[in-house]
Amino acid sequence: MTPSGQVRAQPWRLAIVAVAVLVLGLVAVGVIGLVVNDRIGRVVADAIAYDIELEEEADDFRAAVLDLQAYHRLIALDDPSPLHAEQLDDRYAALLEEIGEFEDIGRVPPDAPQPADLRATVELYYSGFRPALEAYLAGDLPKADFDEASDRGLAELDPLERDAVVLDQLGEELGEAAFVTIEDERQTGFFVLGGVILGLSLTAVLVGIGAVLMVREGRRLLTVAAQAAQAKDDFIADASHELRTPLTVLRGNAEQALVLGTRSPPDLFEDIASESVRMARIVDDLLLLATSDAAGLPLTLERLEAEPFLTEVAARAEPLIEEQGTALVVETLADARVDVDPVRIEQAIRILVDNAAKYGRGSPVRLRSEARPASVLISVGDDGPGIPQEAVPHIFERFYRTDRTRSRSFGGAGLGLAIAQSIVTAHGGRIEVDSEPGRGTVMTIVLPRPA
Amino acid sequence: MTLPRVLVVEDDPPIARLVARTARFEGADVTMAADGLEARDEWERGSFALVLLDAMLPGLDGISLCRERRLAGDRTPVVLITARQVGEVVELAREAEIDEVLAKPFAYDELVAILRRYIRGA
Repeated sequence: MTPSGQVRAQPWRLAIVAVAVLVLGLVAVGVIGLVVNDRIGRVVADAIAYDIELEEEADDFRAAVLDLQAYHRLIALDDPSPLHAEQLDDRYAALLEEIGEFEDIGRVPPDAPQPADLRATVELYYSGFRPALEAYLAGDLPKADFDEASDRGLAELDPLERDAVVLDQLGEELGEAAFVTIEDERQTGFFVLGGVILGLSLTAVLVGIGAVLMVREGRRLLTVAAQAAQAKDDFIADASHELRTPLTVLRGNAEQALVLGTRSPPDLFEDIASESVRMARIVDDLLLLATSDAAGLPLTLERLEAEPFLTEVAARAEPLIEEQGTALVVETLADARVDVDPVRIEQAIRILVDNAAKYGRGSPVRLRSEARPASVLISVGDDGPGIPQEAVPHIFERFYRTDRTRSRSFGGAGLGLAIAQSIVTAHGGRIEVDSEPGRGTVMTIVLPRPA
Repeated sequence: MTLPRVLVVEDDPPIARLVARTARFEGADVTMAADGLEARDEWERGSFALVLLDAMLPGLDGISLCRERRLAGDRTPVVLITARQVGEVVELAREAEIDEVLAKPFAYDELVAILRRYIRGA
């Protein structure tokens, strides 16, 4: 019955969005957690590789190099024997093994000495010195030539020791850098997870607000439904009440006519006729309001020039107004177009004009219209006593009369303004009331102006 | 022989005419009032065999008027005419010591029966 009966969809939407955000948030926390964990795991692995493995392997490698060098010097100073050659082979094999372990780490930085190069250097040394040792032991190589080969071999081992130191230092540096990265990753993860938790908390608050709004909306709808049901009950009760009075006249007079026969006075039949008309009008009014409640008032819209239309409406209303001893004064009329159902809008204007004539206590009724950028105003004014302040909020209620005792002295059923409002509302407009006790009343129909 | 007097208090002219006309045909001297205040004046001034009283009246409603008269010690028979259902007003009517309630739309015979009951006794 009233626009407040419409369902507000926002709380539903808010709740659905909030729940979706919450679910997405939880998934995001999981994914981000996994990513952060994986990244921290990888940099930790890197750090261990660089710092522990690389440094350790570099140490072992260096020890093996030194061991080979030392043994080589021992052989060079002493008189070599086949046993010495065997021992040298063992040390050579140990060094190659260390290089192999380097290769197993698999992630030696490109600017560092590469295991393949180290292996090539060692093999070059071995392939140069070992045959010389073999030849010397077999007596095929003079001592001087052997010494020369020995010195050359030693010189070839020197860069290996330097490389070992370089690798050792590099391991330490990369390890430190990796631990800095771990710290960075840890902090990043902390902030990301913190942000996500904050977001989830906000979402939870939104869900809470949404739930509260939904409960409130549910309660409001229950109240609105109860009010609508009550309004309908009241409407039916008021309508039957309103119909009982003319029905009484019809029934009583008709039954009396049957008894009196030819003795019936003429006013008996006149009353039957006039009350039938009144009753028909009330039924029409009730039907209009019921239609308006059920499916909205059906309108046949036409685009009209306001000025000639209102001039015609005024001309048709004038005789009835003059019959009531009042004048209808047409003031300025706007030069504007309106989209209206002319029959219905005329009905609404006539209701306002009739009311002004009835309640204006003989003051002239003023009709005027005005064009605004977005609307067209049609106003009906009188200089009567005005509407009592406390009555203004109720004047559009059905069967409401400012006289509490529902006097029918003015002949209305109290449906006029309710009907006028239904008609204007169906046009997308509204009726504004400007009334002050003692200063008259102006009722303004505000219609939207076609674009 | 003076006719029994009936006060018809009704603001709706066609109903007032129907009730008054019926009362006259039943042999009553009818006085009419169209609002509560006018009715009070008439009621105080004359003595009536019956008051036919509409519930909704301008100025002063029927039930309040009757209550007022009862407090003043007036015992004139009163029949309340109402467009509401009898059940809705019966309690208020009893408090105001109203003798009968006649609900609209009443039958012509009901109205005649009431008039006869109160007028013939007078």
